[in-house]
Amino acid sequence: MAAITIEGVSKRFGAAMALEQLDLNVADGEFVALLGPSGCGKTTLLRIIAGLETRSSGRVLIGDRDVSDLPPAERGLAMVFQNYAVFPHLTVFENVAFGLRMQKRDEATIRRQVNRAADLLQIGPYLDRYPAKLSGGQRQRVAVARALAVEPAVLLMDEPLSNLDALLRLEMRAELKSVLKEAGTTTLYVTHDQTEAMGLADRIAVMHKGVIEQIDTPTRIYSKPSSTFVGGFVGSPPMNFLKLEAKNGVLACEGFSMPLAHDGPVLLGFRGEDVRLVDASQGLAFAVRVVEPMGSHLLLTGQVGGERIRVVAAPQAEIASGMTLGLQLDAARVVVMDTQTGKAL
Amino acid sequence: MAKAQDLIFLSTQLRPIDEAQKVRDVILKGAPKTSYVVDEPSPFTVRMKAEVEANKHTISLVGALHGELQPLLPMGALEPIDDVAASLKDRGIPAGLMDLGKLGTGKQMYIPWMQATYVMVVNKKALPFLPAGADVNALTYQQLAEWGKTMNEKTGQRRLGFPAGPKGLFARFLQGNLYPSYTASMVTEFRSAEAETMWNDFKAVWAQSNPNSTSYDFMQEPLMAGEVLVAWDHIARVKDALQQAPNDYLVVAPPAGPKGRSYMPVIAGLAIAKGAPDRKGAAELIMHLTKPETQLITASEVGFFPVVNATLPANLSPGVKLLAEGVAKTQTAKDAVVALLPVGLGDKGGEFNKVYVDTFQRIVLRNEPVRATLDAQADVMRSIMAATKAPCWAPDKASEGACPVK
Amino acid sequence: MPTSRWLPYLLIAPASVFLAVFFAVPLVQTIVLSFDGGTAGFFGNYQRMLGDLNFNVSLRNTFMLVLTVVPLQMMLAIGMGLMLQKMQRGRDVVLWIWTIPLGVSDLAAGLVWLAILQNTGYLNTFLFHLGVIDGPTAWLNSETPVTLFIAVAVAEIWRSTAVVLVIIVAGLQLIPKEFGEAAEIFGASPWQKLTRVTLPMLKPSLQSALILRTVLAFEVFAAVYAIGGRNIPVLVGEAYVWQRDNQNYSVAAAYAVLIMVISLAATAVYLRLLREKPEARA
Ligand SMILES: Nc1ncnc2c1ncn2[C@@H]1O[C@H](COP(=O)(O)OP(=O)(O)OP(=O)(O)O)[C@@H](O)[C@H]1O
Ligand SMILES: [Mg+2]
Repeated sequence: MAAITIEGVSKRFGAAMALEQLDLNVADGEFVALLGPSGCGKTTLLRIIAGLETRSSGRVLIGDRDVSDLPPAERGLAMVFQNYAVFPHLTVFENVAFGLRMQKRDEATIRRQVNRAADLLQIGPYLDRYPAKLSGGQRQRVAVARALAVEPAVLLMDEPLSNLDALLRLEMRAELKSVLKEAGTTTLYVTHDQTEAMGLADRIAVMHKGVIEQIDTPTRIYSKPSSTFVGGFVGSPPMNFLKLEAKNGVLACEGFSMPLAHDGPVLLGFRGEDVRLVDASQGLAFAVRVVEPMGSHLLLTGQVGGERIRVVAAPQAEIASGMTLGLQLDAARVVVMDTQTGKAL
Repeated sequence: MAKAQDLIFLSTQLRPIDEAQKVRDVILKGAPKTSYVVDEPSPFTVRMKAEVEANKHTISLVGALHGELQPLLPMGALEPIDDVAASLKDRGIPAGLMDLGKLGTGKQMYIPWMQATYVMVVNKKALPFLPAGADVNALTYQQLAEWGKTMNEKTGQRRLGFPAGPKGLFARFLQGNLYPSYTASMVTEFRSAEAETMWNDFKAVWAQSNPNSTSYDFMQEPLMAGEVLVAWDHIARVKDALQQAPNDYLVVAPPAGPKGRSYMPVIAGLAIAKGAPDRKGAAELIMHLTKPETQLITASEVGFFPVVNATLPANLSPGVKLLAEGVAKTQTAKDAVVALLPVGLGDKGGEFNKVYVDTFQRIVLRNEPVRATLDAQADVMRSIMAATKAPCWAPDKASEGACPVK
Repeated sequence: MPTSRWLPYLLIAPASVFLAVFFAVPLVQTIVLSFDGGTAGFFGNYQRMLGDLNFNVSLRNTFMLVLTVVPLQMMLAIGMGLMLQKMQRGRDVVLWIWTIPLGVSDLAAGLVWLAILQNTGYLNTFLFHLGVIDGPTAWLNSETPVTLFIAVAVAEIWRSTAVVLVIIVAGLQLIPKEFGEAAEIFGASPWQKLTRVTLPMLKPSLQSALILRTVLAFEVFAAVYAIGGRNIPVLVGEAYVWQRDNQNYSVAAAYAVLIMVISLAATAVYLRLLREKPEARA
């Protein structure tokens, strides 16, 4: 049993609040990705869980043990640091073996586990080298291997694949996922890469300014963001928002209407690929400004009313800038947000 | 400081800053305008030699010990000053001293300036412990050892003291007091049987000497601190203790050995440099420095005593008076033997001293066998004498060529 | 481009000339002087040095001082550096206080300890009041070589540990804290963290500190002289005595050359023993 429970954790650095009354539950064996802009407190949260940083308030539980005041070694977890922290004076082998040696495991076990982790991360050929002779990506993989080698119950990873090329990252990601699933490792995984978060995570926690804005499955985070921040942060292109007026229990615009128990101005959010492009005579008038062919699709940037909107069209569609098209929305695939709080209604 | 027109007076004596300042402010008051410059003995010799060789003269008057002036003679750095000697006739400088100033030539080469010697200072607290029948003014080395032993037993501490520290003058004690008192020699009888007896006797003295003796430089300090009750040193180096508490002390002649009570007079002389820029001024300065008044001032300011016939005035400070009496007792002791400062060693003076101090260290501090040590050190001594070709000086009998070590 | 190839040499030329004039020339002169044995031949001065009654003693004292002082102060400085690292507040003040001895000359340091340890010094006064001793007790003369040695070692440690501390603090600051944290997370005890991570990563600083301190410790003199006079002869002290008192510059030069050779040898040993594996160098 190694669920992670974080209750009301705050962290203050001088006057600045890095974490504010943060709650988070990661179930046993679950893989949660932490997603958020730079400086939102992701590393700080991991460090508090690991016991490397003192918290200003709240508590941290692993399994049903309150580990809030335990030293890192007694929390039973492993961590991959954002800056790797691969020991420069030890060979790759010894780096990966470090945790096992501290646990005084026998030589055969060490050899076996090190080799397994090394194979998984494709660093087998470098086991005798010193880190100074490795590329950034290779070092990062050593850091991951070092954490995997101890087969931890809880694994904290701070952007562990950020330095790999796209192809290798895709490959590593898949490998990691299957290994961690198989081992039932509870994982908290910090990343900037949304596709990585989407692909790996059972759930994604989107952080913003020291709080978790939304934690949910990747699909729901994507399609049902709980705030304009989440909608705007997740997805490429980000979610579009139109300012509309709801009247008499109905939210309506050109070619679209839905019931809404709220009167007054609201934001109607929709994804660029959830619209149907129709003739200019129907739906919302969309003036195309820029057409970017992305390979799998066309990315259109234009305006509806005075607001900028990005939508996606089929790659073979014949659209040029300057054209005006019609947008048709699907009531099942929109979200409605409060203009004041930015939260979903 | 030194203005070009000032007469330059270069001295190896009265070097410490406060003493030099007393020379400038008090002793030279009323003399022709002079800049008083000091230098250590070895650079002094070099400097004099350089002036002769370059034939470029800045120094007019030099003041130095007899042994430091001697080597200047063969260099041709000294000007004969019979005229000055003549005009000093009425000052009453003893003929013997004046003769020393001829440096073995027919002409006067320097005028005696001031003198000092090495004495024993006794704290009156030590007197009750004197061995029965011993006269504090006529001690022997055995009595000194016995006295120290009694003091040690009665006060719980070793109360004799010698300046055997890095800047102390302990080598002079060995050369000028101890050796000649036992061997009537400083060099020739260095490894004699008498010397062996001497070292064994001295071990007994050292056994009663304060263990800090190897750190003492000026004995006035441990005397004033009460650490030491009986001390040997140069008079200038005990002066402060005597002036501070004249009633607490006696100044007596150093102990005697089988061959007498040897003492080492220190005579400083004034000489005029050959080619002196201001010979007339230098002569006037000599006249000033040898005036009885100046000589008395010198005695009370820096602890060097008059060479002229100057009755010490009754109002002389009691400390200086004590010293003067001590010097007189030392010089006039019935069994007095004179041992001169080494002459003619040039820059080997330091190594010459080292022979004595090393011998002391090996025999007394490290307890090495006396005979073997003396033999080994005698070899070193022989090589120094051979290298310098210095002939014997008192109390050793005059030699042809280098002074032999038997 | 020829200019860019020569530029670095051009730029170091003034420093090199300076070094050559003020360092190399006197060095060569000293070496030449040390072999100028006069009648005693090429190695005459060295023979005199080796035959001198204080040579063995001073060699032994010097080595014993180096072997006591340097390891002790390395350990002390590492301990102090680690303590400083742990401190949240007041770190700069403590560091500043600990480095005060840096500004004290070695002679002054010797005099400070002399004032504490001499017969009528503070230590004796203190012990007397405690009733441990019943009068001035001598600690610093030739008959108490052990306490004298300890006093000199303590003074040297007091005086010169700050240099090591400064180097080590600078070295510690260069190690990102994540290395220690990684060790902690993977279960290293504080001791394992020190020996397996901190010290190996501190090796370049330790090496500099060791070389610097050892070379300087072989030149130990002023503090020894102030506390022990010539009761505890050391090599530099003997060189000084030969030069100043015995006025034999050639034997003094032989001592100087010997001290230099010992220092160079010690440096070479350190460079070898603490050599970083070339592949580990970043
Ligand atoms: N030791 C510290 N002292 C003061 N402020 C700190 C400290 N560590 C972090 N912070 C601040 O706390 C906030 C959160 O930092 P944190 O490192 O957790 O961000 P992050 O989400 O990991 O960012 P990134 O994605 O860039 O790594 C930042 O504003 C940062 O400046
Ligand atoms: Mg971070």
